[in-house]
Amino acid sequence: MYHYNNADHQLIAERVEQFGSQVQRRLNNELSEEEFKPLRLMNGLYLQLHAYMLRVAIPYGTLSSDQLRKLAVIAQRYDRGYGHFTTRQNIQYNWLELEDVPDILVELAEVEMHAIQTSGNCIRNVTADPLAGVAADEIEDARVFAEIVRQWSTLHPEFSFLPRKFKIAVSAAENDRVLLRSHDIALRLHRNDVGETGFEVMAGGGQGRTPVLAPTIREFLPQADLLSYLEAVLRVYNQLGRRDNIYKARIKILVMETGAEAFAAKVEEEWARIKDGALFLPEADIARIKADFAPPIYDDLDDTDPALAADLAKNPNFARWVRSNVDTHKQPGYGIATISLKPPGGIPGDVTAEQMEKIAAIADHFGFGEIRVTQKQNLVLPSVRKRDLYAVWLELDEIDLAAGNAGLLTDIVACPGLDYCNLANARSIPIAQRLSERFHDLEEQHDIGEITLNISGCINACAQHHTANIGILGVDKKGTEHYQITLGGRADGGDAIGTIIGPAFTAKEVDGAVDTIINVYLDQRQDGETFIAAIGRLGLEPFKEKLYAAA
Amino acid sequence: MTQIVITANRAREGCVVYLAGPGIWSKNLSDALVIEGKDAADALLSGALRDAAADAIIGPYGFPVSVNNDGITVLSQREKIRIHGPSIQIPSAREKQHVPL
Amino acid sequence: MPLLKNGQFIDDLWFEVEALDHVPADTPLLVSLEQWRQHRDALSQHVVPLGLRLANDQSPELVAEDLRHFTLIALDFPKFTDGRSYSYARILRERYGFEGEVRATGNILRDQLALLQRCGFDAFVVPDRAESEGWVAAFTEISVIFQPAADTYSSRREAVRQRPERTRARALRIISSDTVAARWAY
Repeated sequence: MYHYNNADHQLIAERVEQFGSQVQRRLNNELSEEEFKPLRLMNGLYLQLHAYMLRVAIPYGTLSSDQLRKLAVIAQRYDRGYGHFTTRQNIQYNWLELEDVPDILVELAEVEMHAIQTSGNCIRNVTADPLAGVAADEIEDARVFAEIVRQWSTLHPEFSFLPRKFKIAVSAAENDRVLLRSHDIALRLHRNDVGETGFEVMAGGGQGRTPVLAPTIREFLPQADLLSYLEAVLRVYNQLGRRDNIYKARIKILVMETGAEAFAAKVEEEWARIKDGALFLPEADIARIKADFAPPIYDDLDDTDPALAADLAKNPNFARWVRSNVDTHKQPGYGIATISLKPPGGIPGDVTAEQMEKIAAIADHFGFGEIRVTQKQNLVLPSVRKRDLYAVWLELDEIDLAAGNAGLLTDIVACPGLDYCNLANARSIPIAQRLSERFHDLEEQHDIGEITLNISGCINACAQHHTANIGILGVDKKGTEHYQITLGGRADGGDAIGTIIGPAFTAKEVDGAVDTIINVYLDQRQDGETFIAAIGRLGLEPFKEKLYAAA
Repeated sequence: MTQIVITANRAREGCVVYLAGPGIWSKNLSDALVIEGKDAADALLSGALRDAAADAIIGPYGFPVSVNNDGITVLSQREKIRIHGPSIQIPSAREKQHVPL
Repeated sequence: MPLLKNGQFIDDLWFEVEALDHVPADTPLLVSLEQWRQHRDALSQHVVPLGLRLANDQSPELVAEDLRHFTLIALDFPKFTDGRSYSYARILRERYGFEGEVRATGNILRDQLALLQRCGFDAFVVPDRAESEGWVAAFTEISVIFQPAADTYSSRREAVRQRPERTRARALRIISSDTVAARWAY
């Protein structure tokens, strides 16, 4: 994986010192909150309902076991013994005190981690395919380009005070695991008709109040032009993005109001001026970064492993876990193992310090010391020998993280919601817990098949419920928490924004409503079609009928 | 008349505090000043805002409560959560442990 | 309010006036875009330095043809969160090759100084407490850079001039300038 060079270390060290002194000035009342707030936001420090929350960046969701161990230590030493993995591959600590934050940043720096630009109106953590480097359906390792974009965007002087936050995602695989069209900019590496690899560039996507699927503004961008083109997009946005209304300040509004074609033309105009300048990326530079992402030395194995076959035969629970949680690895004899952070009744994305330590050890023992964070708030051991999967599963079971529900109904994505977040109208975690308990039966979940269910506690949609097959949005209806259900969202290439199906439900009614929805699907599905395919065929009427049938 | 309590977060720890008197902020809701009526609350709120820097508190605002023999009761889910913490059991339900470096 | 330039607090010699009818020819004059547009002919005759101040929503593109008349462009920040002028400054330096003073006025924070400078600002109108609070040190707190900007651009032009056979610009790997030895990693 990418390792810090001297420049990176120096930047972090300087930044840690700078923020440390800013915190001191704040604690001594030399800085008012108004002056301090933009500074702490640029360092990922939020004030939430109960305490300060620090969002630590995990660039493109890649962690070494040492880094995960450090995250565990921080959870124990400065927080309440756990952390929360987010839908943008970061980790959040919820219980911090201001005066501890500089020390935390020093500790993070020791393992080449930081919280720079994880909040504020700047370019945020660049997310990438969580299975990059090992996925069978990729053409290149997306993280190479995510790293290049990360460097370019770090403390970019021109783009540190944008109209609003800016989120970039990179994928180089056939399947979209990053929610490309929900991003401000998305880059999809692909091969064109003449066999060249370059990026499809999408701009102006987003969830939130006005969900929009990003249109394509450039079908093919050569790799060498990646940074100059991005700079052109950001420069146009920085100048023309709305600053009169924070709810209209994202680039999606600018693209919508300008029109995608006209917007693309503006970008091309700026780009023409700078494309041959200092941001041009020679192949040698790209190759140098690629070398940092060279795969580990794999064993030379057959793809079919008799040990695994035997393990599958003797343990049906294990077999079920493999079915849902293990993906095809590009290297014969290896598998990609998802650690579901959604045990029945659990809090999606939360991991204790003890669990983190154990996962780090498992990664060291069985997985080249590498862990990934996914956009579904799960973790991944990207390279596990097939013969070791059973041992891994047993070890995960010891720490209650062997739920075989990846990609199934109880693989729920939920924001922290009103239990933690200042912006929330309703709680999301208890809803996730009730649903995961109600539907915990794995045989039933496998019968239901592939499905996505996301729960957001407010209109900001941090759980990305708009593009979930079943989306749940918490609202405040006359002082009580209510939940609006949307159906038909998807972020799988056939992207769509879900449709609200009717009046909101109370907290107690939600799991019954989901049950009704699932039953309509089970009753009416044809030829083994997935849930989302059935919605496409049936439309929403059958679901509305059953949900809102007169009593 | 609506009964109002003023709350904020203490800048140092980030914890929830309630206005207990002029320039006095307490972590305990039972110490909070119960203000009768919106006008009186607004007046005290301006004071709180002015004193925010000096008092090292952030983001003061007022919210309605009801008062009876048992004391002060908050009415909204949000304020309940601010008093009692998250409504769910957090993964390791224990206080911070200070592990010596 | 003090003017911070080249690491020093200096006197501001520029004048702004509401009405342009009676301006002595030897006064360094800072005019608004509206004033420039209204009195362009008269002002072009102005003997001593002429400066232009632009509002946060007035791009230098509006005066691209006229930049040669100005030795100072002042860009305003009504709120420190309004980052448009960071782009405007780079456009002035890199697109138009403007070599006069580019000044930041309005609401700017100490921790923005280094970023502003990288975008091409070389003068800053700062609050009175800037000197006592050590704002000058802010320019050197982050010494590493990860991308080219206006500060590396001028060095690049130097580099290109020195190597005439390199007619096509390439990504520069090693840049040095007076204040900062920096490179970016890609």
